[in-house]
Amino acid sequence: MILVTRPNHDGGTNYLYYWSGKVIEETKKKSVDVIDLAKSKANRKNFISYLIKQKPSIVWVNGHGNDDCVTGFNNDILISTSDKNLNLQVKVFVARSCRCGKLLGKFLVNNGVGAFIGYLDDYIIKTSRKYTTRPWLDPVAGLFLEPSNYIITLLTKGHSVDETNDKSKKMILMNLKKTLVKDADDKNDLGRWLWHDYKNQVALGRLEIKV
Amino acid sequence: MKNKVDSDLKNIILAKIMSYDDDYELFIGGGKPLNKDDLVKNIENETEVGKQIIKIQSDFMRDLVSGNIYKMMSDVL
Repeated sequence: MILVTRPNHDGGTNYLYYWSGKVIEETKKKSVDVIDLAKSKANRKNFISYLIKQKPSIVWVNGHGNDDCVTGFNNDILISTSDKNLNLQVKVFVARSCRCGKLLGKFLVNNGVGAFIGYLDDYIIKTSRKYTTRPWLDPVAGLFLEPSNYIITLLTKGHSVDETNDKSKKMILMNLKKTLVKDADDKNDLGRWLWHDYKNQVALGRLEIKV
Repeated sequence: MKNKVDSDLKNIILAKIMSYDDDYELFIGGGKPLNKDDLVKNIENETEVGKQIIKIQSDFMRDLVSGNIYKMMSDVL
């Protein structure tokens, strides 16, 4: 079972909302149970309730974050390093959120979570203005969001956390390579932001875990 | 002054950003996208975001020149 949060209260989360929707659709087709806390349902009350009662093996948070927390709709803090007594039994916690790899990730793996995949710094997405009203079709954003979508695809296929993180990061590099081959001067400056996301994506905890 | 950005580096990066298309758009963590003018202002004013952009740009240039990026990409089929 996967517990997903995908708020859509601003431009950035709106992109994550639609792009994570693609993975949710594919995952449901594989007969994997998905608890989809979308839009305003992505709040702390729902998140903690499902986390404790349903004990999902994968948690996938999409939204804003900081060193010590991840947030949901209207930046409601879903979980933070202050949540010391939750008795988490999650196998893999994936956070497509800024910076939480620094403190929250370490906190989670020290408090019951098997492994964590997330980012040490801000997660950057370059987008194309042509697709503001159709973010799910934005090919530029896709260069950034498909590799992080791939994390969930790989985990649900039974890959270990280590393999998953490695393959996802290789996809970022492939996209970086495509960008530099197509535009040797990187006039669109995609390479810089892809390289940043590549360097900051981390896996913590028991990397041999498979779901 | 602590954390003061090297002015030559800043000017190089500003010149790069000024060459962007006018409809350039980037999400750096926050909910609102940064356009070209936003990026320029943040860099000129050396805000936290501006310093972050400068660091990301200079890290990329350093890793490109050192061959680090091509070395990592050579592992990718």
